[in-house]
Parts: sequence; structure tokens; C-alpha cells
Amino acid sequence: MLIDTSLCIGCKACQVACKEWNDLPMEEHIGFSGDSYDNTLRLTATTWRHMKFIEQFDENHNGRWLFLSDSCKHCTDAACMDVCPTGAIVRTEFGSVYVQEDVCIGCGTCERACPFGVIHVDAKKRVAQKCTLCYDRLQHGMQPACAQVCPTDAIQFGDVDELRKHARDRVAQLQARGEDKARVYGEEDIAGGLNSFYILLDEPKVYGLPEKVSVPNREGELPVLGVVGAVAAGLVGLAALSDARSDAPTIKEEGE
Amino acid sequence: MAETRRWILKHRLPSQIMHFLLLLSWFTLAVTGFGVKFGWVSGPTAVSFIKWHVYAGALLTFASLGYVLFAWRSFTALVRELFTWDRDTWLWWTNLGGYPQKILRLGKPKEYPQTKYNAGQKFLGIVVLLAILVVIVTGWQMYFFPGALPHVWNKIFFDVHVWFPLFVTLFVLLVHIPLALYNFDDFKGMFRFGAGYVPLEFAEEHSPKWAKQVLAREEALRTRGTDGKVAREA
Repeated sequence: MLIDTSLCIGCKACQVACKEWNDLPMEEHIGFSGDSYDNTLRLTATTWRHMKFIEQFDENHNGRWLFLSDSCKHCTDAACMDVCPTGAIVRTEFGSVYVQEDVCIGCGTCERACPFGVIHVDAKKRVAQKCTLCYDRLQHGMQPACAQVCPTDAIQFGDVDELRKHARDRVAQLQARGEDKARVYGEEDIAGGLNSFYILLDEPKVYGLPEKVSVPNREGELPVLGVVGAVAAGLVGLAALSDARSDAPTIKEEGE
Repeated sequence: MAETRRWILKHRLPSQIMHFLLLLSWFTLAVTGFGVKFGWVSGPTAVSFIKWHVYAGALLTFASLGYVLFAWRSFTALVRELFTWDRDTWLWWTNLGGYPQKILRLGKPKEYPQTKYNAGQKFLGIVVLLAILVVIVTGWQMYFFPGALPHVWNKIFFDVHVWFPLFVTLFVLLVHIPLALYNFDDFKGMFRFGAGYVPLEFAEEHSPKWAKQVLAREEALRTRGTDGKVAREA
């Protein structure tokens, strides 16, 4: 999925469609957020798509609005998947990261590990919740609800490689038009590459996104475990051998 | 002329090495595990912590297996000692070995002569043996067969894996380590480079039944001559 923020108009149709399709309740206790037109404030267990409004105006009201339709980025190196103790978080056949609610025990480890603050444990259901990339819709050949409803095609769903090529072409077009800071956010330097990535018009920190995310690789652990285990057992074994051959007396006399 | 002192071998090398590996792996497991569980770290650091948690788990598992397999006599002697509770072992609990009175300097407590390890150490030893078994089983189940159990058992395994070691870790931090430092001769015996000797007078004060048994055996060896057939204490 590509979210081209240069085409986004901040209408929140994506936010509403997500809530509707997934039957998610409204956020309680927000009221007037005081943060531009933001009415969800952050991703939570019941808000899986959050429209951010970033106002860049001077004292003469000249400037611009930046919009970011924030959601799960379905990272290639998914930290949430790496730390889940029950294997509840899996990668689907579509490349998305999905929480199997019937397996999840609500331990919250994924919540701690996500570098983007996406996934949260629902206090009532006691399971982790986040964007599923509308896995149920994908299985029936449909687009995710947010992509389906976006009036400007800012949210595009399709083959990731084709979308990346399109994104790079689009960034070149934007930079030619004077948008010097336009960039693709979500290449390999961000959690191994985001499967739901962005075209930004400014630096990532302006959008509240980390500049770089490097998730430790957990592949190749087994051989290391073998080495560690062999060393540990070997040390004890050597100690036992040394002790068997030792002639240290049980009682000795020695100066202080 | 320098004064000589009599020393008794309390901690043999396999026990010293096992204790050190247990200490190293347990605290790494505690910091990394609780660090993620209780949110002391987040983001990619949490993933690193889990990675090191698994490595430390391998260290604990194979050190324990190595101790059981290669230092079988040490292991069986330890288990025998931990599960031998005589009348004095039970009576130790009536005044916690006199430690509260000794530490707070509230007079001389009644002493109940102990074997090699006192009742408190035996209790901790049994709990630690059980804890090691529990974390190894639950931990590797989650690593190799995540989600394989019925949902309620996944939750039970995870909760037991977190909360039982938390209790043990707190006990070690608040009781075991302070008392080990209080009985510094024993601490030095466990951690010294080379055989784990402690002063004989320390052993006669803290482990009188064991010290008496060892001295009697050594005396028997000395008077009978070395025939190489007397069993060595682990």
C-alpha cells in the first residue's frame, strides 16, 4: 500500500471507512483535541487509522497543511512479530502482518516492541489490535476499505514493487515542481522496508515518524544457541573433569 | 611467624562454575525479560532484549544439563542435601536462623545446628531448582512451539514464565545476595579462583553438623590410611 501524502486532502474518509468496516467504536474521552482537525490523536486498540494534521503556517497565515493517514506499516522486519511469545502475529500470503486474535494472550510485548506505536492491547478484549490490511477483504479479491474509499487515490493498493517504482517516479515529479523535501518513506532503511509506505513532503520528524528504524535480525539464532549451549555445557564438563583429577585436600592449613 | 588457619573445602569447582553460569544467565534473563514485559525498553531495543533473552536461556539450559550430566555426583549430593530436613532444619524457621537478631544486634539468638546449608538456603535451593525447570520448559515451548497449546495453556505458560522467576529474582536480590555478603567468608569461598575453601571456624559456626561429619571422615581416612576407596564429598 502506498500513501501519497501529496494527494491527501485530509478528508478522513479512510479513517471512517476503517472504523465502519472493522466495526470499531469511537474513542472515548477525546472531545475537542485542540490539535487542528485531529479527532483521534493516536493509533489505539480501537483506532487503526489515524489522520494527522500538521500545520506549517507563519504569523501571516501563509503556509500549508500536511496530512498523514497513519496506520500499521506492515514492516518487512516486523518487531511485533519478532517478540510475540505465542506466534499470534503472523505474515499473511499478502505480505501483511496480522494478529490472530484466538491465539493472542494479550501480554503486550508487541506493544512495547513496535517502533511506530501502532499496535495496542484492547483493555476489554485482552488481545492486541491493529490494522489488518483488511485481510478479510483481500481474501475476497477486494481492496482494503481505506484504499477503496479514498477520493483522491492518495491511498493505493497493489503490488509493492510496482508501487515503489511508481512512488519514486512521483517523488521525482514532485521535486521537479519545487518540493525539495519530497521523499519515499519506507525503503529498506526503515524496518527492512515498509509494505505500507509513504510519499512525504517533508522530513519524517515533521510527521512524527522516526528517521531510521533498524530492527535486529532474529534469523540465524539457532546456530548461535547451539554454540552458547556447547560452551556452557563444556565449561561445566571441564570443571567436572578438573575436579575429578584434583588432589585438593578436603581440610588444609594455610597462612592468612 | 604467620598464623596458620584451617580451611575446609565447601564448594567444589563444578558447583562454583554452575553457580557463576546460573548467576550470569539468570540476571541476563531477568533484565531482558522484565525489561520487555514491564516496558523498561521499547522499539527495536525490545527485540534486541528478546534476542539476548533467548541466548541467556540457552546458557542456563545447557549449563544446567551439563551440571546434571557431567557433574552427576555434585548434582546428586546437592539434591540430597537440599531435601534432607531434620528437626533442626525445621526449628531454624522459628527465628530465621537468628539473622534478624544478629543483623539488628538484638542479642544472641538461639542456634539450631545446621548441615552444609541452612534451612533458608535449602528452601531457596529447592525453589531455584524448580524455577530453572519451569522456565526451561515454558520458555522453549514458547520459542519452538509458539501457540501450539490450547489458548488457556499458552496464557498459563507465559504467566508462569514471567511471575515465578520474578518472585525468585526478588528473593535473590533481597535475601540471598545480602546474606551472602553478610557471610562474606562463604561468598569468597564460592567466588574465589581455585577450590572453594572456607575457614573451618566459619563452617563449624554455620554448618556444624556438616563440618563435624567431614572432620570425622578425614580423621578416619588419616588413621586408616589412603586406600582410595572413601567416597569424596561433592
